[in-house]
Amino acid sequence: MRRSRFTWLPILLIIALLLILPKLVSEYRLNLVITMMIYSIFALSYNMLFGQGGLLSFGHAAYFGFGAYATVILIKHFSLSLPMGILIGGLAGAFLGVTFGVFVVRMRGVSFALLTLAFNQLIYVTAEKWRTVTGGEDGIAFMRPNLHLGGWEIDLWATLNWYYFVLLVTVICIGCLWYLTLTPLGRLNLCMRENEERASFIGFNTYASRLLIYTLAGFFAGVAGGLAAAFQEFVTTTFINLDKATDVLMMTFIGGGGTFFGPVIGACALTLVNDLLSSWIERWAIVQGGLFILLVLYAPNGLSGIYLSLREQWDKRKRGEQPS
Amino acid sequence: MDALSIIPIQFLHGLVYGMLLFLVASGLTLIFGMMGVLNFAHGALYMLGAYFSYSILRWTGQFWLCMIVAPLLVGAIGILIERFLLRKVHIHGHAHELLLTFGLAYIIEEIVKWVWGNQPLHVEVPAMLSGSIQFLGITYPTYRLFILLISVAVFAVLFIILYKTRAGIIVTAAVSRSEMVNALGINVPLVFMLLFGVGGALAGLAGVIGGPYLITNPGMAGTIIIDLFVVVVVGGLGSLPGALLASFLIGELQSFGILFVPQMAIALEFLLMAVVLIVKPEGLLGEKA
Amino acid sequence: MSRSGILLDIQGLYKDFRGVEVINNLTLCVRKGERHAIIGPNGAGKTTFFNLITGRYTPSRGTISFEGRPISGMAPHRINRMGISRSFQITNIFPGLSVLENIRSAILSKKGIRWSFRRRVSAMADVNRETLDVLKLIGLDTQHHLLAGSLDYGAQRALEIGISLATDPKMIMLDEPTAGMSIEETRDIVSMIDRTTKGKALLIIEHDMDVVFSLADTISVIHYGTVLASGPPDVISNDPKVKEAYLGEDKAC
Repeated sequence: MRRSRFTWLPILLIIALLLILPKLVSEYRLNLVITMMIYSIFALSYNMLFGQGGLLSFGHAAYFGFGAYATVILIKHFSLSLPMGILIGGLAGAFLGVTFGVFVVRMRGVSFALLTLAFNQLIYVTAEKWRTVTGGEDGIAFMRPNLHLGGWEIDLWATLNWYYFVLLVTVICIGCLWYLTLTPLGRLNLCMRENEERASFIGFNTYASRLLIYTLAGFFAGVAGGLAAAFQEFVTTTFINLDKATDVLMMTFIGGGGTFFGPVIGACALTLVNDLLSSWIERWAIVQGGLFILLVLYAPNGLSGIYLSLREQWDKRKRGEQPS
Repeated sequence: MDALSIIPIQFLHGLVYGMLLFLVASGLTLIFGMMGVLNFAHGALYMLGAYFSYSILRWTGQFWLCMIVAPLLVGAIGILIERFLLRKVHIHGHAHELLLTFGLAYIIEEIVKWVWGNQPLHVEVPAMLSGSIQFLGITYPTYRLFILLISVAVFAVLFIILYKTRAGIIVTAAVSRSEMVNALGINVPLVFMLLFGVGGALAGLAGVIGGPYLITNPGMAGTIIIDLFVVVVVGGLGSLPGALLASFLIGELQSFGILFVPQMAIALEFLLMAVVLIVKPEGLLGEKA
Repeated sequence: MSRSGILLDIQGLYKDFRGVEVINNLTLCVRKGERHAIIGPNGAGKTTFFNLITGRYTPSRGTISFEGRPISGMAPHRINRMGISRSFQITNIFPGLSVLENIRSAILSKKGIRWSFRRRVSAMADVNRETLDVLKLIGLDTQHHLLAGSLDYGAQRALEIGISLATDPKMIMLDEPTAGMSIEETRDIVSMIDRTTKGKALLIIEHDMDVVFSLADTISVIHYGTVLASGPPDVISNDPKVKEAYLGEDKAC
């Protein structure tokens, strides 16, 4: 990851804006922002593997969906509280991550892509066929329970309260994911992307480290899945299918895996654009696919990569050097 | 139909699908073996074959014409993809190439929906191929036997070219040692481009003959690409005999899976793929890296 | 027989690749603090020998022990943690990370800080101080913020060695550290190696005989996967067997 000129000011401004957002936009738009936040967590968890770890996964929906099912089933059948349900969703994602991770983190490159895809299909088919537990394609509907804090009861059915709940979870998750990139394990992830063999020759157990990172990525994907299910008060096989796995890949790639916030940009941009343009442009998906291919060809670091290189050129010009 | 005759019929079903799968997988395998590119768009090329065939059939009414023109068109698209897109991202590595072909698969599927609509299309087979044939005490649809016949004829030609001609021997040599072939003074980029063309044409042909049998619809690329990946992994990355064996296995697994364990039928092939990747990562007939 | 003072002990080592014996009954010892050069013609098996010691390959037969404990067949990271660190003939760094980060990763590993979540790496004062020390030692402290992949070749070679040094090994193994370098670059890197590896055991593969004579107190000649001769530089340079096998071209002149 490139060293970004990270300052707290823009972050605080964005958080402040998000706090007062309900005063500024309609309920419909607020729901759109909730979707963006959930996909931001999902895309950031994916980027632990893709941008930071250098692994191309076609199966990250497995952990998102598994977390979603775990959250829904446990809240529905065991009357768990919502924060607990979402935490369990994350733990379920981590559990599946470590289970599959034992096998997939041995692979690299195309083999890794294929094995993650195989496991995703396996878990998808299980969700589709094990109707007694998952409801098959009909899915499971449930009610978002209210939040009890001491003597207070907060009605999470109200969009405003639910918005602040998701905002809180998102800020916590993004904070953790950001912090993780600064810890020794986060730095090691970059080393392994750059040169895994050398990392092992200076004393790092790369297999175990990859497995731990894969598990953590599964955890945050599971949290995102739990939130998404609680948002829609419903879970079905579209939470876990291949389209979901490739959606998160597209978001991350378009936003750019080379910077920390790139995937957030991708998640927000695609969510927003899909909502705004899908009603105007009949075949928006063709434009999205075209944009993806153009980025693959000309800007492999996505939108945030374009921004960084533009800024670099701008800096050079300011210093009076020839732009390259 | 009695219980005993269902076994050979299911076997034939599996064989027909397996051979059709191999027709598409052969190009994918050769491209992977030679260039290290896993072509995510290969299923989309197959789908284009089916749709081109549908349109040509509507304009001309000649199914035989479809079998020639559609594969040529798809082959040309394959060449264009290699020459103008894939070659550009080659320096970024194989994962990047996979991303590109994934984007192509995505956009081709969307274009197909745009041009031909979301609905499944009915493709009429020629009168002489409809109906059924009786042989060895069983009755079997003529068209499926026709698929089998065409597929086997194509392999025969493919195998003769690959193992008996100079050009073919270069290609099979390049599957394992592309830098060596390069050193021998053979124009490797040209070979790659032609390989994409031939692979695309084979996929297109499979689309033409498979369209009427597996229903021409915008989801057919997504369905077959998963099976293709299973074939490539199970058979061994880049091994043509491996792809043949794996195609046969997948065909029969699906056919008998539906008969004996209908609930688990689709899961079986992913289980097989996962087990092969874990136990023998190089595939059943693949060479150890 | 006293084995005290022996750090690395290799007895009867074999390695074959699909039936081709690359290492063939190789026996060699390295004492504490010894400066040991490995020489031999191309294809003699020198790099394979390094790969066997450091865990890249598993020996077919034979034993390798380090400080009396067997290490053959261990994973590379465990061998490194026992105190063996190596550099590579083909530059093997983290090209997309900064020079600082390249060295710091090795410092973190040495200090056993691998999966700790309590602090940010940038807040670890001792880690960053030690990183800077190593950077100064290899002369890259002014370029610490550059991407490692953007350095020129000589600097990359210095970084390559610096990464190996930073794990503070008991024995450091350098695989042709001066490969592809100009005369001045070679002189700089040799003095750097001499300065930075003082007191440690050094095992070095080298073709440049000037480098060998200036660094080593013991030389072993490897030929066809086995040790042809081993001893102090003056003995080796007069050994007729060595002259025939390795310096054979001298006779033709």
